[in-house]
Amino acid sequence: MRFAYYPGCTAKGSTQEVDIASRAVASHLGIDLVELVDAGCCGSCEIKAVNPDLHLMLNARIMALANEQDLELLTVCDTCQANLVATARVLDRDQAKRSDIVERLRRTGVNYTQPPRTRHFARVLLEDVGLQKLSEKVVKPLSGIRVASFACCHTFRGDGKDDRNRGLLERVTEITGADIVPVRVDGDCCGFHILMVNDELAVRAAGKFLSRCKDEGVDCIITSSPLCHTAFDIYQNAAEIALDRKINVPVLHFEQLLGLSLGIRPKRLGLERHVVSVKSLTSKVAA
Amino acid sequence: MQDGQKVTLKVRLQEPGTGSSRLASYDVPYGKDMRVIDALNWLNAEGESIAYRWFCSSKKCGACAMKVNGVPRLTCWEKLEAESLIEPLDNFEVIRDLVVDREPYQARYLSLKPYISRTHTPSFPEPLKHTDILGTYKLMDCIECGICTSGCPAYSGVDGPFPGPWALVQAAKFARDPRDELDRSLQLENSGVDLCMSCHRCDELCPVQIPIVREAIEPLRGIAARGPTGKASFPLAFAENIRGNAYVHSTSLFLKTRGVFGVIGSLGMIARMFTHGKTKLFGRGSETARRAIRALFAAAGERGIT
Repeated sequence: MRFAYYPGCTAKGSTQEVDIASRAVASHLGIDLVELVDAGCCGSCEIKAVNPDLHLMLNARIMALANEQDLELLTVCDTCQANLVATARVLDRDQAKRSDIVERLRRTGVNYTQPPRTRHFARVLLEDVGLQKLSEKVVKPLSGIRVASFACCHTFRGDGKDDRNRGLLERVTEITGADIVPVRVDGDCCGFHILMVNDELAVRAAGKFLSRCKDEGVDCIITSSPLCHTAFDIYQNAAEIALDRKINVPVLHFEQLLGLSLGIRPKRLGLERHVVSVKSLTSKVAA
Repeated sequence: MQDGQKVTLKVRLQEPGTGSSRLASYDVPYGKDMRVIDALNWLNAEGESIAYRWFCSSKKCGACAMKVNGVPRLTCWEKLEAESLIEPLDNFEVIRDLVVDREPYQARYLSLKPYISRTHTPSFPEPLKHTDILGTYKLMDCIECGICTSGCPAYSGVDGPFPGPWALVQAAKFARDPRDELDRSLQLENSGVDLCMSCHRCDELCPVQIPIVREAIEPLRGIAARGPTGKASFPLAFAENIRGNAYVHSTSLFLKTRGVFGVIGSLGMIARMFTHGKTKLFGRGSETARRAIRALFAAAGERGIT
């Protein structure tokens, strides 16, 4: 299996551990990731607001780069995934817009023809590797580890949504043998997209979920988006101050939890890079 | 369920001015295709005096919005289940039982000038093609039920910083209308529109399927971002960051957005980020990537902060 790998900004910046862990898990499973090294940003939600055409062009270029490799596209960020899928949908549906965007891209040397199949790593694992093969690879079942999952809103809402994504993260987590604790409610949001603008409001949103995780006594939170991870890990201390409550719940990328169950050493999964220490979790896993 | 089968309706009741509520449980005989509003109507016809709003019973008036089993819904369009918990909408003050006070909210969205503002009197018939107002089509479907704002995680009450999606749909209807001549950028940058968390919960809940984030909030954020004071310019700062680095460089974006004092106030968090290798002083993409991204900005006509 070989994929054009688009890590996005965060996996190459503030959450490099998701890049490290994804590569480790992929390598362990014999999946070849060919990184699109100069792909740039997908535009997140912000560029869509100030210049929707630029947003389409940024994403169409990423897809064109994957096409140059003649490979399907693999992502590790729910927001990048949603932006790419949403762009493909717009350019498929609106022929006038497509002609305009394709022509403007052509003038910059980008040849957009058709969207490559674009999937998040979690979906690739379930669809291409398969539950059975993944389960056979588990050497360290995480039974007794209580996990609260948090998939990004953009996986199942908005223009890039895929209704099949509801429960996807939980299905991947089941492979590890961990106990899934249903903490997330539909009204939850991690608040990431306003962290820079109004962190008080953002951490109050994240704090609702974090507080329930604490109430439920979970051992860790797992995310499929490095953006949600940032809100829960880097800003957990700010949420604690806002809530006036100690939370101290480790936050892992799902690739890291899966990697632990596959027997990959914690150091190869970047577990030391989290702001909230994961020692309580790794000790429990090692016991 | 079969005709005549007893179903349970639990209703949250609250006397005016008390601030405390109680749950009352009722048995209701089920009838074919019965909706939640039918059960409430049956109870009051039998002598109960539960307070709630409803009018059209056909998903048009938006009056009957309540929480059904924890989710804000139009009760005229919600199938009655064997057990249903009916509560007033979240994020609004309760007047009595299931009736919430919409007035303070409506006053807030009136401050966003939800009307077309122009200085000249148009000729008749006004030369307006339907394609000219495509951007407002979906927004005109809004029935003002308040469900989107009730379920919004960024909304924290009528005095909170975010105005809520309902108000923004009303504002966008007119801000996106080509007949409108009002420069709304100052008003919008002070409106709190930039505090939308982009979770799309409003899209999911909207009973008339308006893509609220795409059709209302994102266009308004775009207008607000180019406002005269720069108060809501984060999307532009983000775009500039991408133009310069190809990828997000969080250190410089944080500095640009928060300023020196903001950085000083967040030194603890920044120190933790550096300790764990989560941020770097310099993080630009390769020259190849930056050149390619700059070319896209130019081709898209993005003029940035001007």
